[in-house]
Amino acid sequence: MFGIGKKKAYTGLSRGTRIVRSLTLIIPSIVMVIMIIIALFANLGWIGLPDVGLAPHDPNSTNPRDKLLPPSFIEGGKSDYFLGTDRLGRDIFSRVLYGARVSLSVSLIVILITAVIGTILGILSGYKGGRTDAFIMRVTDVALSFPALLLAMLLWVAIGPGYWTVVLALSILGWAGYARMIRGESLRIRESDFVAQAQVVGASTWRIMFRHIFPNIVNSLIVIMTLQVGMMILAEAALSFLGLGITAPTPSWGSIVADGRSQLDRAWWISAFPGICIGLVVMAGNFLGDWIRDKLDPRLRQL
Amino acid sequence: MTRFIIVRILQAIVALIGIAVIVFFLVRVSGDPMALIASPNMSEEQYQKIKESLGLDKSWGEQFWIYIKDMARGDLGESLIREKPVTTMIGESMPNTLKLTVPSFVLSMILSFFLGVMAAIYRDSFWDQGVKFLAVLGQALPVFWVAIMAVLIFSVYLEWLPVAGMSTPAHYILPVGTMILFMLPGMMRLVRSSMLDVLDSEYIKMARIKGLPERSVIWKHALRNALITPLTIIGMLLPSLVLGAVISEQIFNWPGMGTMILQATFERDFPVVQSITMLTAILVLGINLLVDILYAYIDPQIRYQRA
Amino acid sequence: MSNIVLQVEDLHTSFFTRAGEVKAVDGVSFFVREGETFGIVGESGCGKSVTGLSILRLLPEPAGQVTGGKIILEGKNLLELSKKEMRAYRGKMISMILQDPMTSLNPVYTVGDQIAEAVRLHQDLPENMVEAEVVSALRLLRIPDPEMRIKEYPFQLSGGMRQRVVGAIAMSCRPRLLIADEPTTALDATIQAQYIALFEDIQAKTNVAIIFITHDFGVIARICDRVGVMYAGKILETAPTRDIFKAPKHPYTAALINSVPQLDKKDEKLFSIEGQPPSLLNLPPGCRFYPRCTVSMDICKEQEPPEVKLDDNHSVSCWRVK
Repeated sequence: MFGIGKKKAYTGLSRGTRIVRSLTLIIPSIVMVIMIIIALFANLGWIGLPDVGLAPHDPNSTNPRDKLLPPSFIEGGKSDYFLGTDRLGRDIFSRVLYGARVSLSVSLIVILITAVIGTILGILSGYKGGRTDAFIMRVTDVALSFPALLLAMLLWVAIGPGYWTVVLALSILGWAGYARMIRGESLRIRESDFVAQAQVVGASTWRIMFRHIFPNIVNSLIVIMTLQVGMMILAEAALSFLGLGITAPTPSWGSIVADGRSQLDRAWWISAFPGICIGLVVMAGNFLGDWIRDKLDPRLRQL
Repeated sequence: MTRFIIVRILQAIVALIGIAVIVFFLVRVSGDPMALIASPNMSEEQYQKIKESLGLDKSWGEQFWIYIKDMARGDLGESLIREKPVTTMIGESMPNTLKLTVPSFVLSMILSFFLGVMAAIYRDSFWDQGVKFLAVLGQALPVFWVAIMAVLIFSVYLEWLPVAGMSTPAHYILPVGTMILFMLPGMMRLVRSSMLDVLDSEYIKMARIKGLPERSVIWKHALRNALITPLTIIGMLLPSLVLGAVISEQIFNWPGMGTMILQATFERDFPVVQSITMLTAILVLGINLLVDILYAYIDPQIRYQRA
Repeated sequence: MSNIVLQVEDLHTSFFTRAGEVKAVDGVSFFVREGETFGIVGESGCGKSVTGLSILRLLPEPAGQVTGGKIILEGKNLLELSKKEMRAYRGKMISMILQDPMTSLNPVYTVGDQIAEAVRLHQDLPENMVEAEVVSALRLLRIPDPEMRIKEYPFQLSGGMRQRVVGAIAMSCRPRLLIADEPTTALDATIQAQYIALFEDIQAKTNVAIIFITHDFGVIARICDRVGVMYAGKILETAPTRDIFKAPKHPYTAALINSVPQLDKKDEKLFSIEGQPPSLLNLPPGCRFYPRCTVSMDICKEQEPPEVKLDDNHSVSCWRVK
């Protein structure tokens, strides 16, 4: 046989490959669903049932006698504390469950805000072109290269710590990624015949933007938003780790990891587990995002 | 080409002023800075004196003008807590940060370009799978956590590497490694996909049709086109660099600018935070400018169209 | 009669994809002589471009592989050469022009650089003579002001001009065989005729053998000496151009020629062949054209017709022709 080299070539999908393929959708989806459930049901205090929930303990209740216990499945651990305790005797498992809430809610809110701003600016920029485009793109360039961390610090000094400070810090610069991508799509769509038709008929700019261009970029938007979940979770975690994020008493995965730093030689579990959670959720988000992208808009492979 | 450069420089200056205004008013909008400095047993006289010396008794417009003038002269104010000029504080901590940042950046770029190109050339091979795997993990796992786990494994259990301090080269391994993790996965992925796109193009087919040796096809024809996109992204690496510096310095107790700003933040030392922000803005705009010029140089189309 | 430059015997090329093996070229044979233009004509997807790439051994690996046959260029079987030896053949012995002039040239190098590269690779000239050679290659393709052009970048040239530059690169080393893969398809109609005339000119000057791949019968009529009609990976009929037009023996050839609108037949409706070419993944057992053939017989459904040589120059694969 000529030309068939050492490299493998496909001869049709094997059953194994097909199974792996569907797993890349199923597993991340399950992980995400679990995370959402945890976030909602860690404790049902928010619908008036403060004693009901998945978390076995109050994340902030300290039990000095039970401090620095290893996870229950390791020698020395107590069955009460599934993932062990920290130096104040707080149950790590409960803290991690509550942490899901913070991570997911911050991410979702930031994604919503940045998606709206970014989409409007992106479509405006791509459709109108000219000076508007140049201006918006310059601002986008700066927003993309400006470190959000510094902004977070500035806001911390200016308006103090807190949930909304974090949301603000991530939102003020976060729209830029959307703006750039959506502008690209808008530029492409602008050249379409149906847009030309709308212009001929005399439709106003805003009408064209929302009735014609927006529906065509929705696919890209969904892909970007899904992929942003992971990024936002990582961003919030990093801020919390440094102490600039969500503060006590609310536990955040990042802050739990930070808590564990001083006990690294004695109680590795404090830092280990929240980090694993972050990794799992972000990976799930990324895989889901990739899957959605492949389904909706393979052209976006650059992401 | 020169006209292009001049226009861009002017735009950068305008942007800088805009940022200065925002930063300046942001800090003052939240409350009276005097509240941060004053102590309860201060007399009215002392209060007024301090207020005057800091120029806080003047109108906002005047304050802003003074601020700009000072900055242009290189005076960034004084730290409220340490009573040292900010410039001195920067001078003390910057070298340490550079010792960490520069090698990390250089290594990241070299590694990501090399690995990305290899992954693209030997598509679906062991190289490629490895690179893709590394990219997925690198973009999902929080770097600060990986760093801490690395400390756990290499310093606490194996005792191969020291945890804190800056004296020996071994002290650099973990911090530099941590910083690289911030920049490597994203860049590597981008280089790989850019290279893949280029390798699929018609002009690369033409290069092979000409009979060029494969190494010429890749290193001369493909690479130059493939690097255009990643180079423009370099400007966007700064946030990762800053995040990496602050986190690395925190974890490894590295006395650099990262720890300095973080502390200043917690101490509400706004002259420091404000100044660093402005300096960063200048850096950001400067880098964007440089990248634009570089891009124009590499891609002749941009050069001719803008000129 | 002049010598045969290229002889392709029973070429098989397949693409191994996730869906299975796609037999893009399934037993194709033809030859081309010195100074002759052989056309390969067929619908999109019939395998004509893949044939061209197979000759140059530039199939996208690992999916694309030549799975059988011989490609003999001036006595040597190209499929038996090592990668290094094959590379030496490219540019010097065989060259190719691709379809889309807008993407065939590297955007970051000047036109002159790109031609010079080919010249330096294949010709042993002292450095100071390279530029002159580049200019003369541009002149061969009738590009005006060649001395100015060599400093220009591809984006500064029009499509037609770029395609000429591609031609200049291809011809700069005086190959024995030139494969032109639909070079005029992306050009304006007005430019097409000029471009084709160029080929005639070049061939007259250099005696190069040309394989002209196209779907346009007008082009075939103009420039080709002999034609191979390709369908679903096989060549159904091979004949001199005049015979193909005046007396096509294969129903597909006849149908194709009928589909070309003619000015002098005003009353007739536009004719097109019904149906679609078969999927190359699951080929039916009989003649490939059977589902769309209006004059088929029972045996056509069951068995593939063998190749019948009508005379030295004309062969057909059809059960209707014995």
